[in-house]
Amino acid sequence: MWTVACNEDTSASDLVGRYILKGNETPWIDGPLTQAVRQGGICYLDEVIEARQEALVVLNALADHRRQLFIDKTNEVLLAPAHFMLVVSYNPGYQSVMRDLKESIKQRFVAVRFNYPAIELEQHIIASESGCTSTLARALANFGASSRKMAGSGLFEGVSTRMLIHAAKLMSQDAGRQNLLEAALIDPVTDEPTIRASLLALLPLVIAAVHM
Amino acid sequence: MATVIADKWLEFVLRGLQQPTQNLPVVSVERSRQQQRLAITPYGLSLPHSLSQQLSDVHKGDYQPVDLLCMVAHAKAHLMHSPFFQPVGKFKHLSLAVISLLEDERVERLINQDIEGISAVFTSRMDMEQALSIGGVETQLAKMSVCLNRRHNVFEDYWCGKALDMFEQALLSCGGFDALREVGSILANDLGQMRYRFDHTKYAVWPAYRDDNSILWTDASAEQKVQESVSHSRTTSPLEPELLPKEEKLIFYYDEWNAQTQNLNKAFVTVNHLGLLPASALKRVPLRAAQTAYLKSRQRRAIRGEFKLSVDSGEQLWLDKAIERHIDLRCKISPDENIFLQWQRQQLSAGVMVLIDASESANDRIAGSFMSILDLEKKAITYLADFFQSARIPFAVSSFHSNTKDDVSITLHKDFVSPWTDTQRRALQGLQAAYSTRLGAALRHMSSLCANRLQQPMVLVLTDGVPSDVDCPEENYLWQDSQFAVAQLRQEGVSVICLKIGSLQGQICQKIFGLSHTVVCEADKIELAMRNVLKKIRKSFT
Repeated sequence: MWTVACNEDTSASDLVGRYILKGNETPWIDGPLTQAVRQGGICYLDEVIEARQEALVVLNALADHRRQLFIDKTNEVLLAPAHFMLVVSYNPGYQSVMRDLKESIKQRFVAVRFNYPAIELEQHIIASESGCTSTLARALANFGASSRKMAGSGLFEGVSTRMLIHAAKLMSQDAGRQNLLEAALIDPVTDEPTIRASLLALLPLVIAAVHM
Repeated sequence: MATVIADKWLEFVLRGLQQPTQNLPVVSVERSRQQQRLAITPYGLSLPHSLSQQLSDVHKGDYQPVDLLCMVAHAKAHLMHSPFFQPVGKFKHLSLAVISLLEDERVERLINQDIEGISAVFTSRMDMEQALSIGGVETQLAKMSVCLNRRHNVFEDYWCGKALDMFEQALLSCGGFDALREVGSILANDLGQMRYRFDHTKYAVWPAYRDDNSILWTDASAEQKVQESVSHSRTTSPLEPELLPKEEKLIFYYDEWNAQTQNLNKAFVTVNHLGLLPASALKRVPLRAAQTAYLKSRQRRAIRGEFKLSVDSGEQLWLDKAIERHIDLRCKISPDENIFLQWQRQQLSAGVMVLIDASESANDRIAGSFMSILDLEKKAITYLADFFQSARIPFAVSSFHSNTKDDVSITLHKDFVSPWTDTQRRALQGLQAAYSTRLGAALRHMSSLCANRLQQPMVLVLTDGVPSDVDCPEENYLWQDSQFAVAQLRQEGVSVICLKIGSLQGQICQKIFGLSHTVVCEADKIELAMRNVLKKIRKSFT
């Protein structure tokens, strides 16, 4: 599997490949996408929405019925083998309202939508990842759900499952310190006083679960 | 220094605690220096000063998120599970206090299903030592609260054990609040037998996060009376409000401002009050027909929003109370010594007086529409009445027209304390428009009707534009007087806003009421105009 962490400088050449200077020669180096196509692997473009628009255009022919990768610099056309897979991921409407995948690219993929897990599932995830008690995991999952309901006016995003796991791990090290919870759950998401106070007001529900 | 905005804070916390299927009422925050405990009112939550202070600076040492969480969760519990405005009936203050505590515990148990783990947080605020240190009957009540919360007679107190048993039995029988009334009454009677003295004026509910339970009962404030009348009108056939006999009218005289001479002409305009009896303490005593207006019986007092209060000394003996006292003495129960009668007038905290311009110009068609201005005014009233009822804001409705300064007719269709019935709705739909618009006098009369009744009065004027009358050839005279009247009202603490029907001649309205207090309503955009008006009303009351 070839993983590419896309960013705003990721270009078509970064995916397909480029000629490089090597001693007195200028050999061609396949990019991760080309390597995956040649070898029939999986190419995973993480945060694909961050990449430049021209980088995404090379995916068009590869992701539709043609399954071909055009490499104009080498004048090659690669036909992707049957087991080649192209996987992309991004957070829709999240990083920037100005950025979104073109419909023509989106519609070439089968989409799987990920949201926050339901409370019971999140409780299970927290408990299994952190090793905390199910009571604490439940209280943390409830806190996460509450914080997500607050999101929207001033609070950009609620507390993530990842943060809840961190909090559970921290509490297992020193259950008596409330400021650990603040550090793990509140300060990373906001420094706006009112929202902070609102989240703080919900913390006693977690603390009560720690002592149960 | 970090400042927390209480309203926003409350909105966030409530939103965080809300289940997806729930729709809690929108609440606003009032702050009061006097009150010791949180109060839930029809307009929102009223925070005691100490809690507001805690919120004002989160970095101070006395900031207690636990108290604040308990307070909001408890308020939510009442909002979701408690019946509001129950009649006090013959319950004494001690009975009300006990029943309220039982209800507090009932709703706290119910809310645990919504907010997982909150029971443990409530329990953490029920400090046994603190309960014992209060003193007097309050200790007994606090001990009961602790026992109910822990579902165990932790103090090994006979009365607390009895309270716990009866409470659990009442819950098992699924009797809800009604069953608790009976239990509370028995328990309070026991406390009376134990010779405990209870001073309700000094009583503060324990623990401190709990509200003062005023939302549960009627009679404690006029708002509750109003709510009772509203809910009464929904469930049973309402009492028809008392109308003045057709030939009878109350007459008032009001000043009028002459901007040219910069002179206030004293008692210049005659206002004839028609329709319902004004329930308020009228600011200016009518010069004529005063005796007929200030009416005879207790029934009329009730319609005027007055209620009886028992006091320990006075000129008028309250026979019922005297008999009750005698019975109590025979039953060897400590009697209520307040056997004298005193009339009290209700004071509402906020309310809106809607004033409809029913002058001839209201019959004009709105440009580009088949509706007349009056039709649109009536439509607006329907929207507004629905909003006021859903937001539990007391409101009154009047209409006016004038035929020279000697005859400004104002009809009170609905008073703050009277219910909004189908009869009134129909009567208002049949409203006819005629004559002229002497707005200044009408506004001054509105101020009289609100005086001493409302702490936050508001007058909402529905008009089509320019004040005019046949005896005023000078075109600026009446709008300048209206402008002066609006300024007077605002100085007296009465908010005045205008819903200008139709877009023509809007500038005069803006001059009279001010740009930010005028909302223009066009025939095809009434919903938008209503939204803007309601926004202004909400803003004014928060």
